[in-house]
Parts: sequence; structure tokens; C-alpha cells
Amino acid sequence: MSEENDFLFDDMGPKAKRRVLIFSILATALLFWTLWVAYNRLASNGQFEARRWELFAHPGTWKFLAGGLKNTMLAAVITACISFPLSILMALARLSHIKLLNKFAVTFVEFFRSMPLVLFILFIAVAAPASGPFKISGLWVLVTGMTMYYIAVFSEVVRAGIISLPSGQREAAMALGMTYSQSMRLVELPQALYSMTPAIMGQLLFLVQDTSLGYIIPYEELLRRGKNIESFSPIAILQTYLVITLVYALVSLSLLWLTNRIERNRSLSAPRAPKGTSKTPVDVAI
Amino acid sequence: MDFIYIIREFWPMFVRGAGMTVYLTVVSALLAFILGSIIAVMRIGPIRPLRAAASFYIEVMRAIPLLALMILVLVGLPKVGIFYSTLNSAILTLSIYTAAYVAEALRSGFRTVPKGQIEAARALGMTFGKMFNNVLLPQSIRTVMPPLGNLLVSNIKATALAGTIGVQEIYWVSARVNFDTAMSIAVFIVAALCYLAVALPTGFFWNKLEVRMKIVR
Repeated sequence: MSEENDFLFDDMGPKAKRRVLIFSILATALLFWTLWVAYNRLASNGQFEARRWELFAHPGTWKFLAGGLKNTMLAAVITACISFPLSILMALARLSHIKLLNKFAVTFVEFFRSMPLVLFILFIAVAAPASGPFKISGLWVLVTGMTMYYIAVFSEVVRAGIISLPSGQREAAMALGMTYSQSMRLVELPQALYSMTPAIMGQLLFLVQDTSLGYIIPYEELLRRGKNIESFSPIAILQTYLVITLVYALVSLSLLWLTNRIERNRSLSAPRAPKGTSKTPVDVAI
Repeated sequence: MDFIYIIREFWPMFVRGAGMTVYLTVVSALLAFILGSIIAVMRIGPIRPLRAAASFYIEVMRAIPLLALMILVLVGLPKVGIFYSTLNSAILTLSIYTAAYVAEALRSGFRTVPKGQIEAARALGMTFGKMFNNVLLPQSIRTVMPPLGNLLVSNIKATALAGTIGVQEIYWVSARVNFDTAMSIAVFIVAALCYLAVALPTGFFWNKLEVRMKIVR
């Protein structure tokens, strides 16, 4: 952990060092005491008994959960692949000078961003035909709801990336005789997407987590599979959800780790541009 | 028209649901702000174990979907002998979840205060606590107002998840009314209007607050 906040206090003298040491020991003791109390409470309520955990000794349980994880990732990947390209179009529509297009984009984005995602998913699930020739599966209900929402979310990120570019970029492109679309495609969008990669990755993390809303449809993703295990073996209810939460945490943490890695690589590779120009030189962006 | 019918027949339920949403939002936002501030201070303070604990907490909360956490708290607390109502479990979950994001927002706000300010405070002989209260906090609170506003609005949206575990707020009411009437589109429109009725005034109020704090500067 790099200590970016170290400038908040001076190099400590012997007295302050001793004080910090004492507080550190006290704090550690407090933390361990909290853990100990939690452990004791769980143990005295019999949550560590073998019969509550034996479910997880069977490979079948893990296979079942792995299937859930696969469905979770499937929904996340489909949603990301559909919503991201469309969100770029939506961002361009919101930036466009054509009144109608602009109005449409503003309404769409603001509406879908201000509603809870779970509400859409519920109503798509209710309104979608569940049987008959035009039957829509749980996966596509979830993907439809999430796609609408994430088009709105990603388009705001992309738009912020575009408008934060210095206006000189567009002007230079125009001066070189590029058309609007050439300037967007070749100059502005690549830079905007490059500078917005951390924000996009952050939203991607939320996207993966939001697939857990498949629970209400129901779509057989990780959390829903937990519900199935719970009804199969009600004694292990807490253990089941604990394991599932841990799986989610592992998935998200690996995504966070990937994000940090990308960011670190970028900060190493991107040469610093002089002030007043774009943060990311075009040759790096393309 | 279905839409008018839904409003005429079910408005008391929706009003009660909106009231519950507001209650959940306000209480959990306040608790989250208090807890988040404590975590943020732990995160930047000089005591290493607290720092590690705070950053671990923030990472874990960011890594867990809120719905999973909510279910875990709901089924978990009774198993360790703590009995809360569904409502209180929902409030607890929303607060501890949002607190991590509040802490992150505050911390990034602290980082925007120029280094010279801190050094000046130190040169004047201020202790860490004095520096924090008189220099760091007043200057950073203004830069964190917009992110905190975003968190408040996403907290309103997050309360919908409390409906999935049975707290009777807008989401729960709309699911219930839809079950009774099967007029899904009309119910959805009414529910959406209810959420707008909660979210828009909140955004408006927050903007006012931001403007007020700017004038003080």
C-alpha cells in the first residue's frame, strides 16, 4: 500500500512514535477482540458445527455454484457487449446539435439513471411473455433491463470524457479538414475512451454485481442458486450466503485488481503532456 | 385508463410506500455519513492497524453486491442471536454499505486540499486533530458535496432492494399492486413517478445546499 496521505503528518519524534505505537496496539487488540466476539457468537449458536458445513464437502454443491457463476458472467458479458457500443451512440446523440436527437438522449439517460434498476427488471419480467411462441427467458429479461440502465450510465461516462477534452482537439481536427465524424472517430473518441478507462472499469464492476438482481426474476445466477441451496438444505442458510458473498467478493476483487493493473501500466507508459493540451497524447491513445 | 385507475384506487399505498422510501433513505444516509466519516478518518490517520482495517472494509464493501449483503444480514443476524426487524436489517445494510462509499468520497476530497495548506497548518504547530478540524475538513467538505449528493440519490435507488426482502416501500408496493391488478405498465409508470417525486426534491435540496456552502467560502 503506497501511503499517499503521508504528507498529512510530520515525521514523528520519539514521543509521538510511542503514542502511535500504544494506540496501534490498542487498536489491534480492539479489532481482534471484535473478531473474537463475532467468532464466539457464531460458535455458541452452533454455526461452526460440521453438519452445517458438510454441504460444501460435496463437489456437486460447488458444481452447482460454478454453474451459477457462469450464468452471472454470461449475463454480465452480454450486457456489457450490447450496452457499451450503444452508449457511445447515446453519448453522441446527447452531444448532437439536432434538437430531437438531443432531447431523446437527455430523456432516456435521465429517466433510466434515476430509476432503481430492480424496478425495471421486475416490470420487464412481469410484462414479458413467460410462455407461448414469444417467450423470453430470464437471462434476456435481466439483460434487457440492465442494458437500458447501463446504456444510460456508460453514455454519461463517455460524454464526460468527450467534453473534458480541450476544445483545441476538435478545432485542430477541423482545421485539418476533417469532417465531424472523422474528428469524432479519429481524434476525440479514442482520447475520451482512453482517459475514461478507470471510470468505465468502475462501472463494469457495478455491472457484474448488478447481475445479482437476477435473483428476483428468477434467473439462475449465483445468488439465486444460493436460494436454491437454502431451500434444499435450510440448516446451512447462513453458510450458503456466506460462501456466495465470498465468491462475489473474489470475482469483484479480481476485477478491481485488473483495474489497478491497467491504471498502473498506463501511468508508467503514458508520457506527460505539456499543460493545456490533452492529458493523453493521440499517439498513445491510438 | 389504467393509469388513472391505479392512482385513484391505490394512492394511499403508494404514498405510504414513498414515505417508507424517504424514511429508509434519510435514516440510512445519516448513519452512513457518520460511519463513513469515522472510517475515512481511520483511513487517513497515523495508526496503521486502523488504516488497514478501514481500507479492508472499503474494499470488501465495494466487492459485494448490495442484494447479497442484504440477504446475508437478514438471514445472518438471527443466527448469531441478534434479532432485528426486516426494516432495521435493511437500514443497517444500507448504512454499512453506503458508509464505504462515503468514506471513499471523503478521502478523495481530502486529497484535493493543496499540500501547502497542510504544511502551513503544521508550521503553525497544529496537531493532527486541530489540522483536520480547522484546515482539512472545512476545505474538503465543499469539494465532496457533489459526490455525496450522487451517493444520496443512489441511496434512494438502493432502498428499492429493501423492497425485495419485504420492507413495504415503493418497489414492494408496486410489486404488490401489480400482483393484484396485473396492469403492469400503468403500475410501473406510477412507481416511476413515485421515485421521481422522491429523487427530484432531494436533488433540488442538495443543489441548494451546495450553493449555500459555496457562498460561505
